[in-house]
Amino acid sequence: MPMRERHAFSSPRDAGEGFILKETTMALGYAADALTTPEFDADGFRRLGRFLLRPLWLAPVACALIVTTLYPFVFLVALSLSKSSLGKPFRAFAGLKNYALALGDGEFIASLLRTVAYALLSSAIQVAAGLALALLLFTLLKGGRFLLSLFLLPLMTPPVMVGVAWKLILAPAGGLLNGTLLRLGLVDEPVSFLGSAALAWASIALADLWQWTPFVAILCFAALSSLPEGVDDAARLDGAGPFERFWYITLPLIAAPLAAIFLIKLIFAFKLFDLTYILTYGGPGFATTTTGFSIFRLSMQQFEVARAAAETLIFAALIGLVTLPVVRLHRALERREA
Amino acid sequence: MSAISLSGLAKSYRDVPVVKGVDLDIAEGEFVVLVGPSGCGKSTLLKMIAGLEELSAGDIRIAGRSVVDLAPAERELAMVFQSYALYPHMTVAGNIGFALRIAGLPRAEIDRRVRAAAATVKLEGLLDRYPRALSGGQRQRVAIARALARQPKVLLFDEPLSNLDAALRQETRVEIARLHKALKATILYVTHDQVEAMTLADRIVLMNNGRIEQAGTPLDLYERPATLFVARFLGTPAINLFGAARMGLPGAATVGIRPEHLLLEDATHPGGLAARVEFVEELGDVRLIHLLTEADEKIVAKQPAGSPWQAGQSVRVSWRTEHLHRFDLAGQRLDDAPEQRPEKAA
Amino acid sequence: MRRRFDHRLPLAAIALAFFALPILYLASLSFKTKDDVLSGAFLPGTVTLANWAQAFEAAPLSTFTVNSVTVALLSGLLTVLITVPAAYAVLRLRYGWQRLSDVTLSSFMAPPIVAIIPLFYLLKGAGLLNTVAGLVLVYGMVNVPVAYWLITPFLRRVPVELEQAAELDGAGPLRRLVSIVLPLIAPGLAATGLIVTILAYNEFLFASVFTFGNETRTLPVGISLFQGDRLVNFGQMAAASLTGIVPVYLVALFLQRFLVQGLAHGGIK
Repeated sequence: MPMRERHAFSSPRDAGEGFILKETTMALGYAADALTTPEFDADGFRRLGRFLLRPLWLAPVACALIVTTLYPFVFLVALSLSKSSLGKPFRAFAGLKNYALALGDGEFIASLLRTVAYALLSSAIQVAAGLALALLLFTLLKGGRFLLSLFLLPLMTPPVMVGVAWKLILAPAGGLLNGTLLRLGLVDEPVSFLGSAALAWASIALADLWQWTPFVAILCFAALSSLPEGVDDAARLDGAGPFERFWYITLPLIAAPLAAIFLIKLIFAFKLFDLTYILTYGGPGFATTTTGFSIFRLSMQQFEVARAAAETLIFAALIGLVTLPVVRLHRALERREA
Repeated sequence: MSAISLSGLAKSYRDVPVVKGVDLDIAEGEFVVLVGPSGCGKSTLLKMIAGLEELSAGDIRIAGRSVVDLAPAERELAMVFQSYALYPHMTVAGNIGFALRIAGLPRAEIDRRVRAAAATVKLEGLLDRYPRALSGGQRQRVAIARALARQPKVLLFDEPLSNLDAALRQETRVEIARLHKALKATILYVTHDQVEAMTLADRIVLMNNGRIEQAGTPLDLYERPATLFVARFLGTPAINLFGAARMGLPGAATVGIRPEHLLLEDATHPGGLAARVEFVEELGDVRLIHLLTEADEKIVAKQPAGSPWQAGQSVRVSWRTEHLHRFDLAGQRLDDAPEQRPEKAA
Repeated sequence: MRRRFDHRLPLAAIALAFFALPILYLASLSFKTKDDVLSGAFLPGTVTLANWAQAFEAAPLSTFTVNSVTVALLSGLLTVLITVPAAYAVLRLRYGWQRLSDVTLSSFMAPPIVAIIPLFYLLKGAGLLNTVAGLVLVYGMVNVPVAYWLITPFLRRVPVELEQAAELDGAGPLRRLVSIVLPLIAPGLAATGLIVTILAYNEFLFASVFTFGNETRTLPVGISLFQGDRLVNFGQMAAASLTGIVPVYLVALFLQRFLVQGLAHGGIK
């Protein structure tokens, strides 16, 4: 009697390459069993039915992935090779002209550099701040859990509203920050925080930090909670001070999760859009125009979707290039642990 | 007809064989204990019979019917898990009755059978409790009742006592033996504990490295171990082993003798091996005398309470020939001494 | 035992103040009069409710709110319905393509801007541009990787023996999911559902491109337009923003237990 894989918990890694062939033969086997039994085989038919229903479990996710990832990439590739406008896509084949245009555009290249620099820097700062916050709350333990849920609020705030709130705080006339600085006599006239390149970036970074640090802190908190018990106490008995315990004990132990957290934050940082839209609209000039924002304006305001498609694909490739070392680092750290 | 019949059963994970061809027949009403060191494949074998692991080769018949193509639930067997696997969000009654509810039995029938199963393991008062409100022993009994409620042809136990403390383990062991007597159920029971195996089994199946090393009654295995491995696995303290050449027993590679079969005499006595008492473990009913021979072999003798041996004393160790177990280079038992079995000498 | 002053407490207080400040300032602004705003002080001099009334007059905030809540709830439900059976089938039943997990998670790396042009044409072709249904579908699918990521650790923690016991008890795959697994992962399910719902509620980029009439706009889009309007004063902007924030905060406050758990368990294991 032939053995067929059927049961739920059997082979954990049966999804190799010959998978489709295997599944097909199995289905045929069930059908043959059901049909060749002399008397009507209800069990056989039920098994066949159950087997044929399997794809239905996965179909919705597969469909979502196709719509949100596969189709967009194929579409963008086609679009980037065409002469198109928003209203009239695919008017003619354009070869690599759109890529040439994009790569020849100094402003686009500048936006890529800005985006990557901001993503790396802001993620590093936020992971450091989040870890500090988590350590603070973790050592305060009992109150920590309660405070932790309070820190959820920034994360839950719609980014547009975060932008509005910070824009109001930073406003030259009537803003809280300028008002306070004036009152304390630290400045003589209101500072235009969103009017100069450096201060505008700092403002975006501040609002971004406000929104995301609590999230990073929650993840760090979880990583700290998973530390083996007693290790810290043992180090304390060995005479290690707080800084030494952090540097030699805690940090090496949470290195792998920390790399994962940095990776997650980096991915989110590349998605930055709402805050720049509200706070600076890419300005002053193009000073805070990220690649995402520039693609948005190019496609939805100047209707140059073909060139935008080329820029999008270049951007996606760059993100892959930047995140890959972080993924590698995380894997290496995890392997070291295992 | 056998209750369970396994033939050529094999299982590999990727290319690593875990079960390497097992043949076994279990009679109806028999209590068979699968025992062996961890990683010997006994739990995998049990899960293959239950239908929770697929087979790489072989056939399983339950009551004469091949079940390899049947889903676990269609095999008319029930299983008690090591972790009990109680559904934490269901009451005791819900746990016991879950299978019956799925089978679509009428409510009254479910209720009757839940109560009956609960009564068998003395759980009557606890039917409305949730598993988290039960002690370890009570959870264990719920797991057994859940298996009984389905009135299976075969009961499978996967190390059911390993999560209990020593006292409770003893008590539950007796309880399971009593249950087997009362229900006359066919039971296949997996454990790594030789005491459970010896006390519970009608027949012990000792597995090693994916194969059956020996199957037989507990006394069979203890008194006539088929291999060196079996001899070493059963018995506490473990059997004493000597190189056969040293003992002047040609033909064998290794000779074993159980601690209770060693005879001790004081050093003045002629014959036997000279040894020195290293230390004595006092167990109350018996004394374990740890000895060091002249050739630096560590051996243990089991002596009655009140025997006179003290640490540091020199003694002579001897034995009766019929108590010797002789094994060849491959660890296979050599049949009893040729002088006792002259017909085999030819 | 002698109690020493704990220097960590003031640090925690400062952190808390920093994270509370923008929201408290919004609240304060929303009660300030027009002249009072220019003072740049933290607390209002005189308290007025006028901003709230004017904000609701100046923009159809209630329509936006209804749109936002509808889109968020329906798309959150859709995401969970799409994700949970598939995650269960892949992780526990070992059905199908095991690499689906990796593919799903890595699809989350691409920023939403990548999908915006293709999805624009897709919605246009389907006649779903500028409709609530279109947004529900987009969010429902876009948030699948997040949901997959959040629910995975919960699914992995369900002991295999429980499902084996249920399988022996005769429960098929769907039955095991519904009767055994879902009740056990209920907190994780709640967390996942909540988080994807909030993500949908907060989303701005897709909504700003795929809707262009007040009857379909969501709160973030409405407020982004509102703040660009020169005629609107700070107080009204604050009031409008708070209108959008309050629903999420209420949810977060009542269901914080699930949120922390869901977020903390996700991620790093």
